[in-house]
Amino acid sequence: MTIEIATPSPRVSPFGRVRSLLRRSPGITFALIVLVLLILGAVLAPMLHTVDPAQINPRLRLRAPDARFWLGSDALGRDVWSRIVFGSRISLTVGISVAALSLITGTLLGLLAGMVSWLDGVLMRTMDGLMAIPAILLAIALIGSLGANLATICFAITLPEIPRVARLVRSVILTVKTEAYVEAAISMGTRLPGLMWFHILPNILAPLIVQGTYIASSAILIEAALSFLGIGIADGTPSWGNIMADARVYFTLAPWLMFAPGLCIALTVLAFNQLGDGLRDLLDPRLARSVRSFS
Amino acid sequence: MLSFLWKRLLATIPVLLVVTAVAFVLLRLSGGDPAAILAGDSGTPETIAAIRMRLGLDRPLIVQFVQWCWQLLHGDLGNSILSNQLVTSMIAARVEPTLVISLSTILLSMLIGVPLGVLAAWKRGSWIDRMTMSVSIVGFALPGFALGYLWIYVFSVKLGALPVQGYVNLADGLLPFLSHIVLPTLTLSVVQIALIARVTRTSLLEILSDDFVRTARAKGLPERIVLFRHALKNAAVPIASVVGIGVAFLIGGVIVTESVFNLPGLGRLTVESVLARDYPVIQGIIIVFSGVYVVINLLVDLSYTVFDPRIRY
Repeated sequence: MTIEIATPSPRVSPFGRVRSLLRRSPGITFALIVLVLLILGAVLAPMLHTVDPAQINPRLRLRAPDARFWLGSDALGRDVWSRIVFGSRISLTVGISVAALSLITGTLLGLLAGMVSWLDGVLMRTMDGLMAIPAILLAIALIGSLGANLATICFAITLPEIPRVARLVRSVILTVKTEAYVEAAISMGTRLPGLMWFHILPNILAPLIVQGTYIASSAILIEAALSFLGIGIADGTPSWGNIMADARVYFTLAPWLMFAPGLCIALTVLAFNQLGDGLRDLLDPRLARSVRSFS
Repeated sequence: MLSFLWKRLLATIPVLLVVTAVAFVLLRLSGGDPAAILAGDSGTPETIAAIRMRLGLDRPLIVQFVQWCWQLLHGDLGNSILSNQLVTSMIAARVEPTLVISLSTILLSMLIGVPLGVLAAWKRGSWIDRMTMSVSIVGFALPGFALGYLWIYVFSVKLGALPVQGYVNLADGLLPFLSHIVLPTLTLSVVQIALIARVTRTSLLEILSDDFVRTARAKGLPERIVLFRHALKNAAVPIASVVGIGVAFLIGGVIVTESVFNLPGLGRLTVESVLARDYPVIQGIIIVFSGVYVVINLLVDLSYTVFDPRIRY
């Protein structure tokens, strides 16, 4: 009698796994390419054929794109390519920090609302009220009161996003709370912190990551809109929105000043949205119902 | 139904309370003495003291808040710091352009978005479907102001067909009026169309696999009737709810779009008053816009019973 020993299937190298994942999801591939290029651009900005983005040169104003000014020059003769490359720092900083801040705060509030029943009503009604104020309007009003710098802008964009996260976390908790394994854990005497860390958090991680990418994309859009309206980052620091704000007066003379940063915003937002959609389908197809890309 | 209406109306009270509380706190967030802020740069110590008396700023915060809410209930939003005009009349004077482009946007995006979504679901996997989905993905990523300038570039600068900016009253002729609202409407509609087309497609796909659709087809009804009478009717509830969600986008979009096209509406008023730190006006706008949002979503909830008689509250 011969005994057949099942040979272990050839192990797929991590590299191969990543490759097959990317092949299955062209959206994630696109998103990763754009975001990696962006991050590289933001970090390596001084080395990418750039000059000081604030350096003015009145004799060379409103130049069309050429070998020296890759994307032309603006009304003060500043190099638009340099301004856009350095401007990516603002967009990425705002997108990532708003996502992180609203995920952390929203998760804490959602946990509190889901676990502490007497807080639930008060917290959730407050969240409903915050959600009734349109995000851009709330951000504009907050900056109007607090003044505009990078920190207040991040805070002003974060506040309207928090209720969405808190609601999501709370709804997951309310469903998880009735699961048998959570009841078992409670009956075995697991304390609240342990319960949250080992049983609740793993369940909300996937929807949170997806929600985070959507928040980053909407934060970048709102920051650009604020800068465009003249309410955001002051003109001294280039951001995609204020490059466009500067371009408004000269639009008929030099339309490329408007479209180059506009395209950058659109591509970045598209990349974050695609990353979110891709991760949502990948992590859990059922998520499609609890997280909506337009919420 | 009536008891639902009551419950739904009562539920809006805490929401509106939070909105007013946020608007109330905004003025205090700026750190300075509210009376000095309200008096403006030209405020003398006497006027500051008078404002402090009038607003009761020496009393506890909660008393001030209740007093402010009491004024709001009487339709008193206070006076502008800059012009000393009533905030309510300032808002009333700027409502028209905003209302016009909002309504035309909702109309246009329903007229395009719903048929597009139906078509995409009906011809699932075809080029129409793929195009609709791609457009809706890109539509979400485009910043409204860049889109606005793209339309200006194409239709006004290159083709010379439409005016670049500005607003003309309906009283000054129908054609000038329409030509000035075409581009703002197009700008605002892209996101709305993306939103509506996507939701229409998804819910229609679900419905088209239902038994009653198969029955309708089996008994030989023309595809047009199956799609628009049987299927679309059942998709009315999700479409209505997405219009409610879209209002939040619309209000945000209006603020930016009015700036692009120089429309003298509420959006411009918002930006002007933030730049001028005219807090009472900002507070008033927040309360008006949020109130509109709350009311529209209330109406959307109520509309479910009309669109789907199976829903009873």
